[in-house]
Amino acid sequence: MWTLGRGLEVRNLSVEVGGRVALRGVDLEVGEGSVVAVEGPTGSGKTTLLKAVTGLLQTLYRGRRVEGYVRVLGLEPVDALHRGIVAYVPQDPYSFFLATTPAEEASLAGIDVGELRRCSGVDHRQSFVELSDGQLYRVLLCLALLSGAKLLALDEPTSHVDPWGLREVMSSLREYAEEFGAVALVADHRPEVVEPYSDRVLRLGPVEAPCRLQEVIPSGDGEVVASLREASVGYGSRVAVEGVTLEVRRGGGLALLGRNGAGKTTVLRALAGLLKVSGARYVSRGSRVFVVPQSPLYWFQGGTVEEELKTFSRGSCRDVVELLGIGGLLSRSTYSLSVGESRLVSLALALASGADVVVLDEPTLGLDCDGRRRVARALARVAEEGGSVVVATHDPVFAEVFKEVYLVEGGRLRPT
Amino acid sequence: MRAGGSDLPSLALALSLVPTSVALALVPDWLAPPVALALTTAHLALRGPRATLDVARFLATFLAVFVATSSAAQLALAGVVDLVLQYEYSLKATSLAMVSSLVVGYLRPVALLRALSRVSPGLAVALVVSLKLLREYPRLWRNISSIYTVNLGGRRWARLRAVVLSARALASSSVYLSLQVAEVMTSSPTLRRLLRY
Repeated sequence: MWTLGRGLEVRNLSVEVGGRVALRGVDLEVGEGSVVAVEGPTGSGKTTLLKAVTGLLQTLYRGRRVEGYVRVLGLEPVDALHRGIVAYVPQDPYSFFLATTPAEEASLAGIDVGELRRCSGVDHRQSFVELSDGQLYRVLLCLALLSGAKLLALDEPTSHVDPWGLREVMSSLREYAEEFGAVALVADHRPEVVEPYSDRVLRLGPVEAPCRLQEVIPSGDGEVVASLREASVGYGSRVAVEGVTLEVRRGGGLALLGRNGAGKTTVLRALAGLLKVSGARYVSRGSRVFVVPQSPLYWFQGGTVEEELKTFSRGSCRDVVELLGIGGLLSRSTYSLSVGESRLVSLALALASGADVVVLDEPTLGLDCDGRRRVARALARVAEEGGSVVVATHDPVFAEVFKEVYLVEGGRLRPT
Repeated sequence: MRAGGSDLPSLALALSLVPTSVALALVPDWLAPPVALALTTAHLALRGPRATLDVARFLATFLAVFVATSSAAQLALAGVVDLVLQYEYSLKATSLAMVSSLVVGYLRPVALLRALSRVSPGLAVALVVSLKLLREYPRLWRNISSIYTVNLGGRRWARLRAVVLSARALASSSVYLSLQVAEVMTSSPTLRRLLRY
């Protein structure tokens, strides 16, 4: 048995990744029952901090230098991890589960299936493969909450969970921390959502004002370049989207806004031709479509960002690099990028390819306000140059960038 | 929950893969076509057309690379291409892929984990991670190749390039995926309970 100490003590924590400073001189001291918001812009080291205090960095990664004093309930992070009092909820929720459904996973973990269902709001019999990114994240978070961990580290919940669900998630986290004397670290770049539920704020970079974006992308008044007419898509016996009609015009764009699991990604994938639909799908002759999926890292080639750009463009990409402000990332390996940075690089690939229709799933995943502005600016450029843009997002602030916004609810579409 | 009651069937099934693979590699040439056909039919019947198609697509890409490099090597060294030899190797590779996919489909990672963690928790986790990756690959391949096919356009040369780029992306993402799986599994409440650490 270990001796209970202070909740979490961090003194002068620094992390170097391959000679590059990822985190410098972080101090934090919080008692049990606290929720701490870790804020900072994209690439400021939020994920690195979470992985260092949970012992994951020291256990699994090579070439990382971790210096400083960290204690979790008086234990070294690696000891705390091995004693099972630490739960880390990653940015990438795809690889987590051992079982095939939430019900099976709950049984394996010794967690009451009903409690998991109440906490996550997800149908516990549905296969993980059929769940949306946001739903996976919620199941993952609830497993962590119900596991009895004393240190919970949540990475970018606002990137995955829709704003409506996020209030429930944060309030559950708050209650859990108070009831079980746990410490929760929530790393996010959207202070307006996380701060109201937090006791402390740890800033790893400049403070951001609440994000406001202006409408910059018109509906488009040119010819129809892509469309769906009365389209339906099903997974086995379950109908994911039904009777969807949508037109994308040259020189403009549209956004699909909706809660986790509403069917946004399915509509987007159907439009891009990644899924078979019943009904009609049309892409105008000669028009090239470029898809940026929700998890872009999985289709990178593994070289540097510059090499990745050359895969899709033979000419110079200086314009695109400047527009998105990714000059500093060119020599970095794509697999060393943060989720937000990889989003910007994915968009750069779409722009560099010169595609006519750019289709993006959750374009602001892991991005701070400045990053979201850069994405909006780049998409506006695509529309100005006669291209078309379609995005699926659960971020209402980003949806405001578009004049034409459709609400996706229960697999159906309605204009807002 | 005890998966399937005892952990032994899962362990036996996993261990049976080794002699089965050796036996398939040693199958006489005249028997290779009916064995490949029988295993493909069994896969189709037991795991369904979608899973069979996934394995076939995955296999086709790597067989294409194998046949191309093998032909080039044969031409360079012997001046002729032995098509019969390539046909036999392709059939044996198909048999191996089908039987592996069948076994993996029926293995219970949890049961395996329990059985092996008594011997070595590290080995058990490594095995479960491998099993999880094996199951992920066909789906990941389908996703990656469909994205590259759309993003590079539909022309013939572009489709060929899409296959090459997809294979590279799959190889690169394997490292990333392994790390992700290891990371979440290290802090997974499910795994902690199963290994009781």
